[in-house]
Amino acid sequence: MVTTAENRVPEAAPPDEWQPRIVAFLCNWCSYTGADLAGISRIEWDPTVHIVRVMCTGRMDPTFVAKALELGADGVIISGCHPGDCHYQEGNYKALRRVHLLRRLLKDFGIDPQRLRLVWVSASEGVEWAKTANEMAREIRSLGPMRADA
Amino acid sequence: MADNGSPRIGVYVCHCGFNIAATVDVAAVREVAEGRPDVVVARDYQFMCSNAGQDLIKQDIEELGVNRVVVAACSPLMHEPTFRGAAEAAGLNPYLVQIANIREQCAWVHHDRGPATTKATALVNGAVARVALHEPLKAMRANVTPATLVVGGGIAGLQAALDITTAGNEVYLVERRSTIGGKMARFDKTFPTLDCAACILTPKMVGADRQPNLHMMTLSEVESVEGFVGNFEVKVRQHARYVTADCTSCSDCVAVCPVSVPDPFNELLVGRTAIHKAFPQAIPSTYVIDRQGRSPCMEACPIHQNAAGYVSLVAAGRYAEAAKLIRRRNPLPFICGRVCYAACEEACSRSKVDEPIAIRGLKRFVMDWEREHEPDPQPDLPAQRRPEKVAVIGSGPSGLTCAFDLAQEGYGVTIFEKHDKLGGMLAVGLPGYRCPRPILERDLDYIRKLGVDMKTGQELGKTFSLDDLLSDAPGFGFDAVFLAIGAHRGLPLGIPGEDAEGVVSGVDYLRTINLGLPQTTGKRVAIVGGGNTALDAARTARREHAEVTVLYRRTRSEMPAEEDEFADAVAEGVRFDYLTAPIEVLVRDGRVSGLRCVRMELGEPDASGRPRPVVLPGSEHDRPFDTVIVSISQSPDRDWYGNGSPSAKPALAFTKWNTLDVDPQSLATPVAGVFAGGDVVLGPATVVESMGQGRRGAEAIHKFLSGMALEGFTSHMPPAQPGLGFEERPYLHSPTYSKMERLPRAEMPKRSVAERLTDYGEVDLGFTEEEAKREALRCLHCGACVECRSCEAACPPKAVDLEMQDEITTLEVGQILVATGYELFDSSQITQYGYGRYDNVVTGLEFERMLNSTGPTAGQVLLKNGKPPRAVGIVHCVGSRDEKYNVYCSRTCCMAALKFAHLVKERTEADVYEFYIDMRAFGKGYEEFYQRVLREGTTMIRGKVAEVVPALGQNGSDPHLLIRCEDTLIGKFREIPVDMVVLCSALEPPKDAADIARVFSLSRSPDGFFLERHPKLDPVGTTTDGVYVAGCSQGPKDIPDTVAQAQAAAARILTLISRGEVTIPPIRAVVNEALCGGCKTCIGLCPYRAIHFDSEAEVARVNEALCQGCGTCVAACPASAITGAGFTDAQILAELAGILAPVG
Amino acid sequence: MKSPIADPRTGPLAPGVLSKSERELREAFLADIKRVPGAGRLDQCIQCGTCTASCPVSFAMDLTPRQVIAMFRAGAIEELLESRTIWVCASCYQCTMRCPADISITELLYAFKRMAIDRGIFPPKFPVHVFATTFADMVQRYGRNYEVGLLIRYFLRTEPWGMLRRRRDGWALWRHGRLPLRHDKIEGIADFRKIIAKAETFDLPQENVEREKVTDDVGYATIGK
Repeated sequence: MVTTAENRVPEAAPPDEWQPRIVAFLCNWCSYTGADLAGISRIEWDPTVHIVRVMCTGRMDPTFVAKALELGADGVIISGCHPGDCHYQEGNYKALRRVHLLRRLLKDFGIDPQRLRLVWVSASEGVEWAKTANEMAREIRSLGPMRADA
Repeated sequence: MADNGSPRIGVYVCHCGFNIAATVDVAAVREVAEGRPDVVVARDYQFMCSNAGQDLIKQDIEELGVNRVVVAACSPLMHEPTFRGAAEAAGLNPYLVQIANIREQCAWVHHDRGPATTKATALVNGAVARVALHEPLKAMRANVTPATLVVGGGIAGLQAALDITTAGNEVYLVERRSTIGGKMARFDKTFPTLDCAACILTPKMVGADRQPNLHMMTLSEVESVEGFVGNFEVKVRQHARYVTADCTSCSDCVAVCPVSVPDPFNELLVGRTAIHKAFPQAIPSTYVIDRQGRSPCMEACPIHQNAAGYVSLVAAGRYAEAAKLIRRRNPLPFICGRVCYAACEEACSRSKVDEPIAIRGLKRFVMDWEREHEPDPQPDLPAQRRPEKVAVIGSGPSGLTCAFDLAQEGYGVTIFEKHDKLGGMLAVGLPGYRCPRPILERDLDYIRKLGVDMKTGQELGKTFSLDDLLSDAPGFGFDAVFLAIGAHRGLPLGIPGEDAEGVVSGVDYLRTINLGLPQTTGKRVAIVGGGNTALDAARTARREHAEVTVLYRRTRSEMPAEEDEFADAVAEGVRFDYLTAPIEVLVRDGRVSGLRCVRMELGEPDASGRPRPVVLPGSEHDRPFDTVIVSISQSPDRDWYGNGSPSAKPALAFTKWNTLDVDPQSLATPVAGVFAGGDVVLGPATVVESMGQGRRGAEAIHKFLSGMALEGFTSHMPPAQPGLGFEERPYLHSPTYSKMERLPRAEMPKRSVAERLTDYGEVDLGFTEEEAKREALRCLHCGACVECRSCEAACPPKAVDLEMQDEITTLEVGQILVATGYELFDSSQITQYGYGRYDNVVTGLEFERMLNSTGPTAGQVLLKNGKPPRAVGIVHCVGSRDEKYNVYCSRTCCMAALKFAHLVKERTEADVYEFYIDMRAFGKGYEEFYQRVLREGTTMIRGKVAEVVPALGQNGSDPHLLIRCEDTLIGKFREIPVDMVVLCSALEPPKDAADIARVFSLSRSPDGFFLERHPKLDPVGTTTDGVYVAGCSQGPKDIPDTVAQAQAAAARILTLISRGEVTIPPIRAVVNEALCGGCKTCIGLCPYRAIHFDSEAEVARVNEALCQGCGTCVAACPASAITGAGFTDAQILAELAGILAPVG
Repeated sequence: MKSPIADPRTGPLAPGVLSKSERELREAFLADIKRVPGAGRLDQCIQCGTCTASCPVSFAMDLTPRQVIAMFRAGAIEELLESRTIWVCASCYQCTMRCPADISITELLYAFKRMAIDRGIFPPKFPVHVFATTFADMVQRYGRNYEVGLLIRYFLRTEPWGMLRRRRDGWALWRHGRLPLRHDKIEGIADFRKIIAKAETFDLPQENVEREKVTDDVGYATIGK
């Protein structure tokens, strides 16, 4: 397999170099289980991503994202079940709607909307979760710290 | 043990042996945790999940007053219940526990100690901050309905159903096909014991049939599932079987069914009748009729004649039955067999293969046969005589049909006909060479036999009026009237000179000839117009020995005349001048002497969609003619209305085309009791369309006279969906049809042209019996059942019910087992193996059917040409273990291949070759079976087959196949000649697996099969509580493993039933009514409709039994009035703050 | 390089030595191979033999394509590079189309060819590689093939008297005007040479490349450097 950037876990940086902090909200049924599967399969992903468990992405109040960014996160991932497969039928569709709107608001506030990422990861997609985390970490590293945006 | 008051948090960091400790510095994490606010104790320990570990927690709760617990360990999906249980055992509410996942989501996925430890510390911080805000929650208990739903009647579903019902509980077994038994019912012998599959399966099937609390629902599918574990509400659709439970399986119906369609049970290798039982030991043993909607021919016909039915009966040589079938819906079969424009032929599915069936010709054949063999057919007399009387004005097709239908209902019907010959347009409009008088008489006679009184010489507006009909005067006194006076007035051209002698309208001309009235056709006749009437007039004029020229103002492609008619007209010497129109009739001595014409060219399309003809300036020219027949259109006569029309209001209404204005559904005029149909309403229409209107009129009059509302009509419906034809018919996509031979359509034999012009004898001669049968055999039976009702007649217990409808049942069950099995990979995708292209390349299932004694070859191994094979090649891994198709191994094929090898050796003299990559003989007795097959002399070649190619042998006349592979054990390329190739194709999930998953809330693994909760520890559970999977729906497996899983699932189901109740986690939404503003935003968002609005209190309320805890409403509430118990805003934000707090 | 498929009668082998040397040899080449798209999947090969059976020229090969992969995995690189197989490949790609492990065998064989040229290992008495390198030289020099030059150079490097044996063919070609004595050069030969040079950097082994530890698809992660 060819090495691509998304599978490469970066080496630990020297202590004084800035490390991003990324918060990921994962739905219990699909994405959290998928992330567990990545762990069982020992697939590496970036340690700057911290997972918060919710039952469903429909629970995602947009203020959580704002609050996370305010409290020090440099990026936020929201990950749920694939459309049509939500354990609670439609929660992920509502999350999708809210994220669309939220992105526009973030832009108005001068925050790069790339700092918010919405993905669908199913319970058997450990590899996809790892790729997502790594890609996001790479993206945030290139965007720099949140403070830089404001 | 206080769990109120200020939080006293205990933090426990697990080493998990080296799993966590090797990467995360657990001691450091513990140290940092110790210093966090509200933390009274922090420990680290080797294995927190062990008894000793749990005791640590319990002790701290009891002795240190810990009232909040954080465990930093493996995933909560693993051990959250364990630690909740430990807390509960020590008297602490189990929901005051929070897990931080520092194993699956930390230690196992990061390799640098520093960042991993930092992250673990952050996660623990988050958990600590969160748990401080946890409140004690109480779990709900719900009852478990003891009934169970099992989806799928294969061996998995069957076994589970038997186990559950034997334990004394109810099971609903829902199976999509007409019989239970699944794929196993199709096998011949099973490995490794070579048990006959049916022998071990059928006792279970019969057992299921007899089990008192096992409710079997075959031909059924689950449409929706609502509810939660212990309390599911399931909607099941039972498709109509069309045979009731009175069926005794005598199979008399099969003998009379004229249809043969490819049999899916036998992998489409052989045909079966539409009414059938899937296989002899099918359970339920009731027969079933295969109906794929209505045939397109029946759909398209305005009177819904059963074309497919009588065509099938002709093919079977059952002409008397065909005639009866035709007469059931058609009072004018002889006429239609000659002149109908055949919408059925236009819709015929056969046109997708080659050409449509000559349905009209076949109908004519049947009726001619009846005339010869059954000269006096009797109609079914009505069941009851009704007192009401109905008058039908006009004896054309619509009037006759209306009269016929009403007479069959038992009404007294009188037809009033103006001319002295009955038949309307059929008598006065159709020339004799298309529709001879004796033919029409036969149809009229049949209608008379029903007691219909037909009066000639009675003209509406002259000898009687509409008022008379409705009055009580003797000879009248009718309760309803159907006006069917047709459209007999030819439209004039509107050019000067049109009133000269020798200019006549087409309809008038034809009427004169048909009624035998005196007339003179000249020597040079011009026909103006391009429709069927124009051509009828043209060909009639030819028979009157004239030179005939048709002048048409557009071109051939815009002419509305039928193709057949046009061809006949040309053959008979009619000349056609296109793009020509007359502008003046030239008159000499009061008689026509010619036409002044102009030439036209085609311009933009007009209202009819055809290009508008535009006059070419300066193109005037004169043509000599002595007779001009104007045949551009007809309209109904309106003169009669002036004389004695009903004086009461409301009166009849007319449109601007002089047709009667009626209600389009009921054909009712504004006058009560007076209906109208046919050409008088439609304008000039075809025979069968008018008949359809007559039928609708009869239905409307019957409703009117019975006092019913004039709605809900079932006769003369337009086709349900235009083009419901080829694409919708499943059989037409089978390989059988794609390789079908192209056969020409039967050509109607005709009289020679020279002969034709001598008289008015029929031009078409009709098919011979041989021609008719051959043509009828081309029918594809695209709708399967043709509704001939032969089975209905032949069934002794009268069990056939073609009016049966689908039924939707709602079931209440506590748990659901999904055992929907597998489908076979489509081997034609691997084109290099030649499946679907070469004869004698078969799939495993096809081979099973061949080996099975009830299959297409009665258990013999035979090639397509009927001979036994000299050599057979069995190919492993077709579509499995292949990145291009399915990556997984299908597990059963190696053993099935060995079984095939054994059976071929047993039943034939053939050499057997097996082409494998690995030999997977992993089960009990499997390796021994492999040894046995090796001893029998099958040649094993280790090499995946690269391609199968056809060969012709040394002298070019011995067609067989060559299998090419590398024999990897000797490292050489080999080409093995064989007669037959058996492909062991992959097992795949069913094509609609995604839809099934959605209905039951199942996840799927990457290979598409349903996802189990844990691959090792929970192979039959799913992430949806109360829903289980078993058998091949979870992944490919053989029968022993399938039965084991089925019994495992049954055990799980019985566990919950015996407990009788289930605990529902208290993760739920609660509305704070004080804050709720009544905006109702939340109501529509809930997918479970768990929130309702109390309009008195003007607040929203959550039904805690229905709420599943997704939190959508919590996030949506603008007033933050809804709390998500266990996942409150405050808790989540605290967790965020804890994670993101600055390090160090 | 010594093949680790050693004769057990010569020299002692200790546990772990065989697999270690196999692995070293393989890894030495693995990095090169893995640069080629589709070739790096050769670890997935299940030795099914579809490639051999699909190959239209397998009759002219000494090692079958399947055996080539097996030899590589056993570390028998030298033997592999001495086979005719890698030079006989017609690049029809039939094997790649049918391989159930999605390995691009054609690309693999090309990579081995380049490796062979690089290391100067060729099958005995089978000078196809000379033809290939001579052709490449011509194209590099003139930007297009120069048949006469190609033939002369090839024969001079392999069997000089071969030219004499084929004099009748040469005479026929000359009479039909198909033996141009002057070579054609293309325009922009400098740009063309730049393109070739850049392309070569893609797949020839680099001296100072960092050996990155990669994480494969579902499977193991390597810990540490």
